[in-house]
Amino acid sequence: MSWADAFRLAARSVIRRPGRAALTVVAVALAAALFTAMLTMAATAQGRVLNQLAKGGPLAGIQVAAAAPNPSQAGVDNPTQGASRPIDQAALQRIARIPGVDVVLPIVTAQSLVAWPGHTATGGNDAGPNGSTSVVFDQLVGVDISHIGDFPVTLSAGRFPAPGSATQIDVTPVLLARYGITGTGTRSVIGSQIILGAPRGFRSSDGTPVFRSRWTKATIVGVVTQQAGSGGVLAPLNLVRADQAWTAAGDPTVDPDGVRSPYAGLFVIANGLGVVPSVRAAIETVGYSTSAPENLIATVERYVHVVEIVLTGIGIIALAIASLGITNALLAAVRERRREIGILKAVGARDRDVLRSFLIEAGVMGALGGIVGTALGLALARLVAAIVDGYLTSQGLAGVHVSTPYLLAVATVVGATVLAVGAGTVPARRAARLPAREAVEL
Amino acid sequence: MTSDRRAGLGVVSVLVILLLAACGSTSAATTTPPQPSGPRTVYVAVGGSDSVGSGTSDPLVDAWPQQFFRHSLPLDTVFVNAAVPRSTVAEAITDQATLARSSGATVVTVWLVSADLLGGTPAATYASELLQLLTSLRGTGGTTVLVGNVPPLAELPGYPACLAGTGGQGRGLRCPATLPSPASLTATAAAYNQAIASDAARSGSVLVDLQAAVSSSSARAGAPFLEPSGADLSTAGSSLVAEAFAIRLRTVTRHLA
Repeated sequence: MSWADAFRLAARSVIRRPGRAALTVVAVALAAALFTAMLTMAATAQGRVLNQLAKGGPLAGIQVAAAAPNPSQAGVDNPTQGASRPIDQAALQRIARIPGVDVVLPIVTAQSLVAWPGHTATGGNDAGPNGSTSVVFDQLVGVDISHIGDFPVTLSAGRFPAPGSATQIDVTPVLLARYGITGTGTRSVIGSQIILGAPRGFRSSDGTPVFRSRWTKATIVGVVTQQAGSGGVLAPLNLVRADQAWTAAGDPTVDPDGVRSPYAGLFVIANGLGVVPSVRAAIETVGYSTSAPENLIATVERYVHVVEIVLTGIGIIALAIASLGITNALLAAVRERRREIGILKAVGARDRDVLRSFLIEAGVMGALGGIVGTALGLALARLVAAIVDGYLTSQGLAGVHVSTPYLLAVATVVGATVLAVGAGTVPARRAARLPAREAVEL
Repeated sequence: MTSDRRAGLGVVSVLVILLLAACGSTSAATTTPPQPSGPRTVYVAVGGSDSVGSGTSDPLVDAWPQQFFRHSLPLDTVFVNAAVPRSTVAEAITDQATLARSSGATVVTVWLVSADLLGGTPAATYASELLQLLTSLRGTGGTTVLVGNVPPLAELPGYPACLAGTGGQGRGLRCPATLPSPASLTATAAAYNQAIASDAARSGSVLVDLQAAVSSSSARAGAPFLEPSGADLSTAGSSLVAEAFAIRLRTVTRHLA
């Protein structure tokens, strides 16, 4: 009997009893779906948690502050910083040359008045200058938007500004809260125009200190949570640099704190999590304080791995139970087909031909159940993710996104097929050992 | 078809639908709108208390140059308010004009009348100093300079307060020891307006006729032009001044185009 004949025989057996075959496949599919959905959701949750720990930036990201390192805090994720120390271009280049550093991204900040005509800032210390009700003091954080994916920034609504734009900004929920805008209301600000004013200190002809601002109009294009720098407005580098230059050209006796450092900080991306400690040590040798959630990430990864092992175990148990269903279905098939098997043997079929036919039947049901179950599991994971995403975004938080785990999908299908073939071995061997006289006796 | 087969077909159909759902993509494409192009407008306001926004409910937002900037200039405009409270033209030449030039101003508004008029600066001196200021601001001619004239005396910021002897109720208004008679001040204001028109023409600047704009506004009996003490512009008055400058700028822009 050829392989094609064996396949034909197995297919005929399945078609002859479609209800039983479908139920067997569904059992395998449900087990495979459970397995896939649990592991996909676990992987998504892991990604979300680690992303949260890295504040939306890469896991191997290191923040460099414009401050000296504190020797007593070496190796601590978020150390207390030493004395203020400006970061200039030379320091940036020295850090970029450290082995293990992939890229160094500058962060520029500028003091700013934020005027939002038609909106009232909440009272207390948030009230703006000259008793203004719609103007607050804040800080602009400038980053290279073309590398925004590398920064610890998470978009919760809208989009990022266009790279190089002088008129587009993102705002943080903290700034919006100062205007009494929270929760779902944060989405409504997209498209609004605000006015930014960089102050410059002057001394008038009679010696009186005065401030004059460089005002620009900006359109809010998105809402972000960001840890790149301290400030409520995220903007392209060029926009913030222009404001910083205006403030820096002022009279230092009027505004000594105008611009303390050309760069407010740097975001360094190491070649991998493993080299983060050595890169941090090297940056601190250059003379700057660093912070990175490396210890926290390692701890969380260990816990998440334990959860994955438990979930994998549950999934495998479910698949094993489904395999018992295959064994049961095939045993029933052997009982029903004793006469047919006997005739086959009487016309010359060998034991291994019968064995092959039953194993193919088991394998096909396992593979079919695995494919359908994997698809079902991925759909279920997406559905749960969509519900969670809707809840998170309605709360003004960053949403979750499910990526398709191709390796897991292939492994589930292959695993379900192998388990099914294993489960079909006992009934297949029983069928193969049936003597030809069975046909005559029955 | 047996019920067994129908059940099997139903199960298969549901599973196919789920398979297709799982393969669907959830990512959405994002687009970036076009950015403004061409040289950037740099607007500098040269003025006194009125231009700083004294008297308005929210000076940083309601000052007339801020309103002019927000509503009448392109989105990517940079605005610097160089105005100094109670500044005269002579003071503006050394301070504000220098800042306007160093900022690379392409549009400048000048409204400096109250401090000089109430401070007793003679019309001839005012004319000479204003011409010097406007010429300096115009530079090589690439800067559009708009200059406002004296509004009707009753609407002149500071005048009603000085007339009432309140000095603007602690606003630091520089009222002369003896205020000229209304007739004399009206004559001086007319001389100022003549000088402003003449200097604007000679320097290539654009005259903004606030005398006419405020008069027609008063005839319409709108919101008060000055705040209650009479020392400064009200928020509505600031809007009116901003609108007058905006209308004139649009005329000039159309003419240049």
